[in-house]
This record gives sequence, C-alpha cells and structure tokens, in this order.
Amino acid sequence: MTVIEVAGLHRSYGDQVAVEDVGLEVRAGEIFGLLGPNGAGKTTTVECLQGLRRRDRGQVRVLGLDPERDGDRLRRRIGAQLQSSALPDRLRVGEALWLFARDGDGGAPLDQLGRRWGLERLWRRPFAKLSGGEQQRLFIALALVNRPELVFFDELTTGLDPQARRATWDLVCRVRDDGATVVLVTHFMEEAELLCDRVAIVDQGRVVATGTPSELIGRGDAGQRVSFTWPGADAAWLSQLEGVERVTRRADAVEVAGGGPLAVRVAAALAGRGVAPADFRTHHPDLEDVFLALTGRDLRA
Amino acid sequence: MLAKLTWTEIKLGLREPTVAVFALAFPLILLYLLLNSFGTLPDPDFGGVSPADWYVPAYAIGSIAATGLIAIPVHLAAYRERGVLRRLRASGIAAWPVLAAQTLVAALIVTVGSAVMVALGDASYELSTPASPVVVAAGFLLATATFCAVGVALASLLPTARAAQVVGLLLFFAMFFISGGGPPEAILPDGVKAVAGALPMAYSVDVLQRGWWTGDWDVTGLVVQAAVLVAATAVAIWRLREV
Repeated sequence: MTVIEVAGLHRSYGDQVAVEDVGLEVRAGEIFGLLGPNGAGKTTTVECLQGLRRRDRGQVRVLGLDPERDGDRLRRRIGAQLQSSALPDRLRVGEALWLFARDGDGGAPLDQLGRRWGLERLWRRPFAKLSGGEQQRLFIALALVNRPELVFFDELTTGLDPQARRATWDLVCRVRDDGATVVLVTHFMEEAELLCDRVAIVDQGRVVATGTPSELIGRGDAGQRVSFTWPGADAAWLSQLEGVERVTRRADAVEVAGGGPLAVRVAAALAGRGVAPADFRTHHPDLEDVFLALTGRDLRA
Repeated sequence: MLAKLTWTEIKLGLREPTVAVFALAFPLILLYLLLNSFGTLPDPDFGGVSPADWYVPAYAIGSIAATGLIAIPVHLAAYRERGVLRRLRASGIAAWPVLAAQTLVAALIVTVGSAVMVALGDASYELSTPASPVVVAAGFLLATATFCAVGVALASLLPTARAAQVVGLLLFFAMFFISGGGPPEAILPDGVKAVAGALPMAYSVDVLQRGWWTGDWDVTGLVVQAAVLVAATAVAIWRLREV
C-alpha cells in the first residue's frame, strides 16, 4: 500500500529553487530515507508533504489527502519531528506531552509514553534545560503521542554524540516495529544504510536515485575494489578478467577495481596461479560512493 | 485545544512575567503620577471632566496598546523565530488557537490592569461611574481585539523577537503620549492632533471616554477600530499561511 505519492514537486523561495522536481513513493510500514547533502531540498520536500509549506506545482498525496487542502486533517494523522523547531523555554516536559496529546484519542497514557522514551525523570524539567539528546527524545515522544500512522523525522541525530545517535536509531526502529511508516531525512549515509528499507538520494532539488540501500550500492555505478600485496610480479593480466575495470600497483600493493562479483573472480584467478596473499581485502562501496558516482560530487563537500 | 493552550500560556506567563509586568506597571505608574499632579477638580482643558475621568479610560487603553503592541509581538515573534509555531502546527495544532490563546491571556492582563486603575481612581481621585457600562465594556473589548490583532500582524511581519520589540515600542510611544496618555487633546498643537488622528489609539480612547462621560456611542471611533481590526487580521492570515 502506498502512503505517500509525489510527482513533479517544485518549490522555490524567491528566485532560489529549493525543490526542482521531486517524485517519490513511500509504502506502508517501511522506513523511507531522504538522503542528500545540506541544501539539497530534503527539508522543503517533507515540509510540503506535511502541508507546512505550499508547493508551487506538482502532485502530492499523503495518506490519500492533499496536504495543502486537507492540512489540518492530515496533520492529525501524522507525527513530526522538525529540523529547526523548539518549544517555549519554560515549558516542562510533562506539560509539553499534555499539550500535544489530543484528548479522547485512546493514545497511550502520558506516563507510559514518558517511561517508554526515558522521560519520566525529566518530567518537570523546562525545555531550555534539556540536553540535545533529551530534546530529541522529547520530540520523538511528541511526534508519537497521538499514535500517528506516518512519522517524519528530519535530521533526527544531527548534533548528537555517537552514543546518543545509536540510541536514537534504536528508537526509530521501535517506531516502525510499532506499525508506523517512517520518513527519515538525513545527510548521514551510515544512518540511511543502517535504518532505511528504501532510500531516495536527493541532490539539487531532484531525486537522482531510489531503491533499497543494497540495490543502490549494487547498481555498479559505484565500483568495488579489492587490494592485496603481491611483491614483484606483473599484475596487468588481472585486467583481462570479466568485470575488472582497472588494475593499479603502488610498490608491492595491487588494487583491482570493477563491478559484479569482483572479489570472488579475482580470488579465484589468483588461487588458480597458486598465489595466496595473506592480506586480501575487499572494499564494499557504501551510499557515500553511490552519491559520488551519481553526482560527481562528494557528499561531505 | 484552546483551553489547554490558554492554560499553558498563563503558566508560561507567570514563569516569565517581565514583558507583561511592563505592560501593566508602566501605565499604572504614569497614571498615578499624573493623577497626583493634576488633583481632582474638573478642568476645561480636560473637556470639563476631572483628571481621573480623563486619564483612567485613556490609560486603560494605554495598557491595551502596550500589551497589543509590545507584549504580543515580542512573544509571538519569538515563537515564530524559534519554530514553536511550526512545531505546534506540525502536530495538528493550527496557528489560530495559539493566537486566540495569546489574545485571551492579553485580555486577562489588561482587564486586571484596568481594574486596578479604576480602583485607584475611585479610591482617591473622584473617578465617576461610567455613564454607560455597556458602551465602556464594548469599547474596551473592541480596543483589546484591535490592538491584539495589530500585535499579531506585527509578529507575522517581523522576523525576530528583537525587531518586534523595537518596532512595538516605537509604535506604542509614537501613539501613547499624543492619544490621551499625555497632555489632553485641547492643549495639543494642531499638527500633533492631526498625527494622533491618523493613528488608531486616539479613536479607542474617544470611544471609551465618550461612553464613560455621556454614554454615547462614538461611531467614528468604532468604525476606524473595526477597519484596523479587519486589516490587521487579513495581514496576519495572509502572512501565517506558512509559519
């Protein structure tokens, strides 16, 4: 079942185009990643999906609704953690949950929710006195307080230390396991690879690729590499092997780049000649390499 | 939702009362000083009424203007700047109940402030009873709605709380001392009168004073305020489509 359908989405601020032409489809029950560098148009896209921004053109259906026309009705069914948002400094954790919880919706009792997200000890603490990780936990709890069918997380782990980041990843998986569909906006490749069932790579306001992380990595645009030490011998014959694109030698070290089941082919060929290097290593591409291959630019630039 | 938001705003206001205290204390202290200076006798410069009958309605409007032009824009612009309104809207809490809650809290503050001023005038400065409580109450409510709407419109136009503070203070002081809060109209120079006539506060003061003294409806004042209310609301609705 499709939860979100977007085609030809465009939005600009003045003469600055934020979203050029975005199309995507999110299915029920998955964690869908919007991945791309800062300024790629990810946040504007999800804000249009939530009806927080108006689109200049394009078709958008979220849970069967048009976010612009039925915004209020839609937002009662979704949960959101926004990239840049805050609460009043002196609003306390417990008060925030009370304020955001809709009455009579049969949602979990607040103290239960607070325990689940580790907020019970912070119940009376004002928002301004929370650490970054505590604020994010509160935002996640607020996003989930009304048992939404669809949850948006925008740069959820930016600014968190590695330990808090890992803890937050666990929370995101729990949200999906509870049955909600999750849209995760991130510029961390590792995060997208680890959490997302499917990923759309966004660059300069366009979706440049969509698929599962392994599909994207296996597309072959981003090559695999194997390396090993083989002193003295001529390694140029390796480039005759199927799938091999490039063989380079630096002193005693040989590196073979190519696509397909490269490591198996190279290892088999070496074994066939009685060569068994002790340090045979394979380098799998990750989404970072995919992004580089697709856009010609480094994600971190 | 409105009840929850209003209760939350009241609690937040009590925890951080500085702006509200200014909006309450500033007019009250000035009123006290003026009433002490001018005594209690009716005066032709004050249109033949006592200084208290002149200044208490004027300062009730003053506290409304201070709340509407300073407290609301500073508070709401900070909400906008920090993404609080977006945060709320994303969770299905639309902007209008947030603004309505602000207006209700503002109404509460100015009602308390005005009650204190009336009590002060009544206890020591020969304040008369309003000729028409209905006109006075209507004028008070309309002025509150008008200045709160102007405050919301300001907050929707200005990018930061700091900008809202500067603009709000400027607008307030530009109006206050020439619209009844300073020297009475009779002794203002013509040029200053013309400026006051172009600004909304003098009309709010007229409606309240007329209702207090004679019980008559000041139709011009009502129409001007209604027009400002509609214009400011339209600006706010237009600007707050995206928060």
